Amino acid sequence: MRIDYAALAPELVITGAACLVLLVDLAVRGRTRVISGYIALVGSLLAIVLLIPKMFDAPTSTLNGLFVLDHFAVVMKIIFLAVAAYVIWIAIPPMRGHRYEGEFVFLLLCSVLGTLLMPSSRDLLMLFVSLELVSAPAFVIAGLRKVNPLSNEAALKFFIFGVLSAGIFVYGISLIYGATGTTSLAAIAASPAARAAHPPAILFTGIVFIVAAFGFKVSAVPFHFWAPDTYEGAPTPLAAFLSVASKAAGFVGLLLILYIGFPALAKFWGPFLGVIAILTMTVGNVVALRQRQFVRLLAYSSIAHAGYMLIPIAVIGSKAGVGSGSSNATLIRSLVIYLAIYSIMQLGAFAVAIGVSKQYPTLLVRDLSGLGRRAPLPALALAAFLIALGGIPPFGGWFAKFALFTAAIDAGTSLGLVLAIAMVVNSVISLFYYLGVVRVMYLGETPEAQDEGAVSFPRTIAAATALAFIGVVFVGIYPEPFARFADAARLVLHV
Amino acid sequence: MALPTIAFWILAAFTAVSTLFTVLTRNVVHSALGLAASLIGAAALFILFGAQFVGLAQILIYVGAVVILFMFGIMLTGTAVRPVVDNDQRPAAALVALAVFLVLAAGIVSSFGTKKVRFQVAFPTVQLGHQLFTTWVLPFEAVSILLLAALVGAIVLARRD
Repeated sequence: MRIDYAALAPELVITGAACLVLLVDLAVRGRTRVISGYIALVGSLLAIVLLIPKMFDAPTSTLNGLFVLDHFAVVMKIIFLAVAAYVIWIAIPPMRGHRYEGEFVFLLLCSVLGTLLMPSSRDLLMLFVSLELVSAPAFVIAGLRKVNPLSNEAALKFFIFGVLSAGIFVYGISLIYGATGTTSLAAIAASPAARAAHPPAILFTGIVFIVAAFGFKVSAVPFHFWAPDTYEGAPTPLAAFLSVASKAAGFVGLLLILYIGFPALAKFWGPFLGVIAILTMTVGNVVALRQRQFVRLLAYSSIAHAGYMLIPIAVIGSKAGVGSGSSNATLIRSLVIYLAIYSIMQLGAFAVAIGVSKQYPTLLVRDLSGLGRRAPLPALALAAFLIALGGIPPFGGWFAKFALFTAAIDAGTSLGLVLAIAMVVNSVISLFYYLGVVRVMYLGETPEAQDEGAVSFPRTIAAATALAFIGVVFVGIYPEPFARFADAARLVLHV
Repeated sequence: MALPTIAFWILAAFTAVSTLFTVLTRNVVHSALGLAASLIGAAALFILFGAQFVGLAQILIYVGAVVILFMFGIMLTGTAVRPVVDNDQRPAAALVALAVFLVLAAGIVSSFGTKKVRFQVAFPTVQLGHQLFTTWVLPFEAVSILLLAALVGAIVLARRD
């Protein structure tokens, strides 16, 4: 059998970079160990360059349709690689001189490889392997600060929840295989069991198990308990990666399984996801109101955003004619737009958090007080990221919410309407804590007199923050090119 | 009753009893032994249904490696000295287990209740190996990277700083 290596190029580049990091890290000592971060950075950017021409090629598939490179996959992979490059970049200062600097980069690249395989997978087993490849290296990274009890707790909670969700996922796969006799998504959709007027009961059980397993990955309520503790205790760059790339990979996997594998059962999983979406955004936002630690606040905010991002998938399910249909394309496009813009805002906020954490390792919201005077530019950027996360123009986030809102309304179903309204109500709730942080930064008293001095940012972090700031302003004022990039993300059902 | 059916009921009862023993005993070492017995029972069921490769892999990997690793873990962490562990969550655990059992049993019985299960499933190991290195080579390689990451991760976490 011929394997289309050109289609696998980005994955091969990342694998190569990961192995190179492992070898180079053996050879270098001391300050030069930082080179592993740069190898990973170059690898990610090279993979993006290799992917760009694929935006203009026809969709291809290889390995008997197991691996598909359509435009949806290309766009998602570019987003994943850009996020990876950004995380590696902002991880360079905090990981510098760390005992496991090279191992951190290697494990992160393995996780990135999993995110790259995800949007191309068209088989339950392949999706399972991709999902575990995303999570398993992250378990270890979460525990890298070995002397810190919070980091140990972070790793352990993440590991136990992650392994449990993996077990549930595999059990779900086995039930679906039992009912349909296949693990290929297209074959499941075409199987007599899935198309029957009364599908076998275990198919529903299987779907519930799979949604539960992905619920852990995207930290949807009621499967979200690990997220705040893990984000707080893990090295902060990993928290940034988990709350953006790992979460996005979960959404991609869920979309592929439900949309390609179970269009005939959409009447069941659509409302089911809708309930989870409402629960997730409400619990995330309400609990976020009471957070005193900044990373925990971002964790709950990311749970709330997971609720918003479940909306388009749920609404696809609520429509009678899944399949082609232009409003499905609009819904998928709105999910891609949201994921991309959310990545910029969230990563920017994490970059500022990493910058501040050098002086204030506990990262309480209180520690940010007076930041407007003590580090005016990062404070301005953080304010922009938070306002964007809240969805207020002119910063980028409004466009993401607007795209999601109009797509949900345009679908013309009652579920779409209910979810759109729930999102608006929740966005208003979220403003309280986003603007609360902004208020503390500009109007808050600094607790101790000796804290009045300037907060110094490492140059790398300052540059990364500036880049995210430019991104969030640009998208907010001129979203056109961004929308066109997401327009290209056509998910192909049959290659 | 046909011979395979009798064998099935014996093996199924053996697996169920040893699994119950695994979760009910308060001694970690006994629990690990119970797990080994339950995995052997499951492996025997696989072989009974004609999936020889899966059955043997189950014995080799789970009974031969994973449970032994548990034993080493128990020995090295000194848990064997005071092996009794309990966390007073029995009623909640029983409730969850019962709920999961009811949902799965109801689903499986309603889906397959009247269907006849053939005991002789064609499942040649040669074909499995061939498939693994052609169609499924990509997940196979992805798992290799996963194992490499696990190896590096295990060293990182286990090393004394």
